[in-house]
Amino acid sequence: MRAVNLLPEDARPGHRVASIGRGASARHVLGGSGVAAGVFALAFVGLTLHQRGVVDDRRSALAYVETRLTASQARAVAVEQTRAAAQARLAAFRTVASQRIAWEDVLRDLSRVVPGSVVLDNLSATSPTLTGGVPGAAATPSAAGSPTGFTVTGAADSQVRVAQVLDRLALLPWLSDVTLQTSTRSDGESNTPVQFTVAATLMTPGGR
Amino acid sequence: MIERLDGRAAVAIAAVGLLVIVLVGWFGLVSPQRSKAADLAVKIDDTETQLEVTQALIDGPVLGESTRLLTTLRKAIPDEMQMSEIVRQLSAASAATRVRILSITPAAVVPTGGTDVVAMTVGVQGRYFALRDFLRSLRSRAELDGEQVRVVGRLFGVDSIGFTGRSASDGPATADTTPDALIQATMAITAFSFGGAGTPPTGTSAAVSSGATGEPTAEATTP
Repeated sequence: MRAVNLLPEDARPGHRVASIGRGASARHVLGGSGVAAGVFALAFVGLTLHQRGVVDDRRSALAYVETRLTASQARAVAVEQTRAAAQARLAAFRTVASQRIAWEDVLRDLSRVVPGSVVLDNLSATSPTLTGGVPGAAATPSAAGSPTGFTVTGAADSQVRVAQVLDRLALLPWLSDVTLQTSTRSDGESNTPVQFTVAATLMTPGGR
Repeated sequence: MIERLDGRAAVAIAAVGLLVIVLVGWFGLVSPQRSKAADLAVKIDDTETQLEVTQALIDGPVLGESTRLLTTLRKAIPDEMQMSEIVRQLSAASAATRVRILSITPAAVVPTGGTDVVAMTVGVQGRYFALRDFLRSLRSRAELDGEQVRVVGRLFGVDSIGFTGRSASDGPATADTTPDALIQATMAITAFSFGGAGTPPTGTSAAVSSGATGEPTAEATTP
């Protein structure tokens, strides 16, 4: 029959763990460990003091950086205010500029399309978008197909010439709904006996 | 007492004692300080990053560009309405384009959310193409060229124009036929200020008489 050792491996005689402290003096062990404990305690106190120094240094550094940041932020606020003021004014500028009608183009185009034998007596044109934004003053759209914002009164030598005026005004890209209001021939020796009134809808020819 | 302990028990007690000292020393003393130091390091890093960003904003081109833009835009939309400046600029435009200003009738200043607006009824007299040039001159004082802002004077908006009163002998309004015909026109012109108090324009609440002529004057040449 074979003998079996039922002790755990580390408790068997001859094992390293089983031999720890065997035969050692308790006084010596505790004395040594007391010294070691003192060394550890001193080391920890030293480490703690060192870390406190690090913390103090970092607090000082943080206070310095925060002071600089506060000063910088005060200056940055001024920069932001300047930028915001510029952007707000630029937005207002763009809004107005984009709503403006290039009236010189309107007059230039009109002078090009009106036939030479036609005279214009009155011209009234109102922008569909008012730059001032004053309510009620813009050319308000009326019923569908009804022209708004542009009325011209003139005289021509014949009704055919009035028709030509209508055709040519209809070619202008900034006019729509060109409509003849009246065309009346008057008696007399005038070279332009036909009085006419034409209305149209004025659209914005670009904004600059 | 010590004498009654065997070596193994003494080792165990010493080990436990040392372990307690190490644990207390590390977790009770050193580790909190290390943690504080680490937190502070993170805070310093964050603050320095903020400082760099802020400094970059201050040192960057934003301030210069914004200041230049603001200076330019203040010519077009000043802080105050400055009605005298408006009259000068209208006179300058009329002088440059040979248009005679007959009347300037400003309405009260209307605040419209940040921008104050003064609407004026301006009566002018001139030839057809001179009027066209006058309108171009008003618009080109402050205009957008794509994304670029070009400003040499006030920002004017012209909301309506009306030509009236052509006599039979004056000829047509078209230059092809009688370019010398004088036309009287009425224009609704608006000028703007930014963040004003909304008070009426000083000294110009009544119509300005027809003294603004098309003759070049020192006033008129003021941009």
